[in-house]
Amino acid sequence: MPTLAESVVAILEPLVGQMVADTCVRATALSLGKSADELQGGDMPALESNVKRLLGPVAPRQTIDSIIAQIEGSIR
Amino acid sequence: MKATGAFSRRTWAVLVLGIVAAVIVQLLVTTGIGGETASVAISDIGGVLVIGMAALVTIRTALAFGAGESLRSQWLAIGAGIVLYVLGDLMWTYIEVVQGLDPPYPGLPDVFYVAMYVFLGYGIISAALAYRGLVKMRAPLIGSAVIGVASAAAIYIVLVKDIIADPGVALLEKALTAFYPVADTLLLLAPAVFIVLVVSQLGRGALGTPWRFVVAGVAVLAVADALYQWLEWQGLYSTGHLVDLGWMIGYVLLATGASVMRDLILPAARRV
Repeated sequence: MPTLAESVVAILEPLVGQMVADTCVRATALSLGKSADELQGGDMPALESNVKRLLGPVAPRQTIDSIIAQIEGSIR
Repeated sequence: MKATGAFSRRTWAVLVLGIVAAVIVQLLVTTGIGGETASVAISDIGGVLVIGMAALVTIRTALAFGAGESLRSQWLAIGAGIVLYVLGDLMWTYIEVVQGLDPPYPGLPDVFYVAMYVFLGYGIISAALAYRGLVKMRAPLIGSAVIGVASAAAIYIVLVKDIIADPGVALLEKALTAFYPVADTLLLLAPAVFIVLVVSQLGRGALGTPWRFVVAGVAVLAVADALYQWLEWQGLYSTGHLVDLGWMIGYVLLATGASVMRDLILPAARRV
């Protein structure tokens, strides 16, 4: 079963590419004092907030909402 | 992710119909159907219609984003730039087709053409800067500055220097003749190179695709403008020249970029 980090990268990758998707997840993990692999369901609020902050200026709002919903769906 | 995999039918329509319409206009003009007066009218009105369509597509894209979204202001600025260009062309058409006069250079249409650079340049630069939280900006900034300055210098040496030195050219005409190619490189081409270097860091990420069309469009516009300046200086330009096709296709590519960006709006996923 993929980790949360892997799931989030897989969801973000079609939009922002592998490298930026990785950076997005690692930056969130770093801000929480964790490694990307240690991210868990409880870190979702921080992850969502980071994704919204980084993608907000460059991607359509509806698309970001859709991505967040996909990420939430992936941990259920 | 459906929308990131392929272009929508609307996008294909904008690209294909835009290019086909531009080529038809150019063919009608080249074949000289209806005589010289008709050719001039077809060229002017055809250009207004094709580029007007590009403006409409771009503005509609901007308005598809919510109020307060960065993408809305970026694409509104680009759309406003194209609208200004169309207004300049409308004025040119009125003078040439309705009044039957040679449009003056510099003239009133140039006010709109010059204003276009401000909006188009602002839209592209603000779009590139919006990526600063996601990717590295220093290398693209330096790369685009070097390319912009080098291109401006090359255009100055090859084209502008001789026009400025020509005693037969009036001062305002010299200023405008220098402005267009320099603005093309510094206000359009350099920002376009900047954004393409920025989005190249996204790899295959779909967010980069709209901006690749914008860069292609700006490059075509810059080449068409430089050719126009040289032809005008040599007294070789007349309405309906092949260089007109470059302007039409350049703006069609900008509109295609706008439509590709609109394709990236995903329907809200159902929350479970």
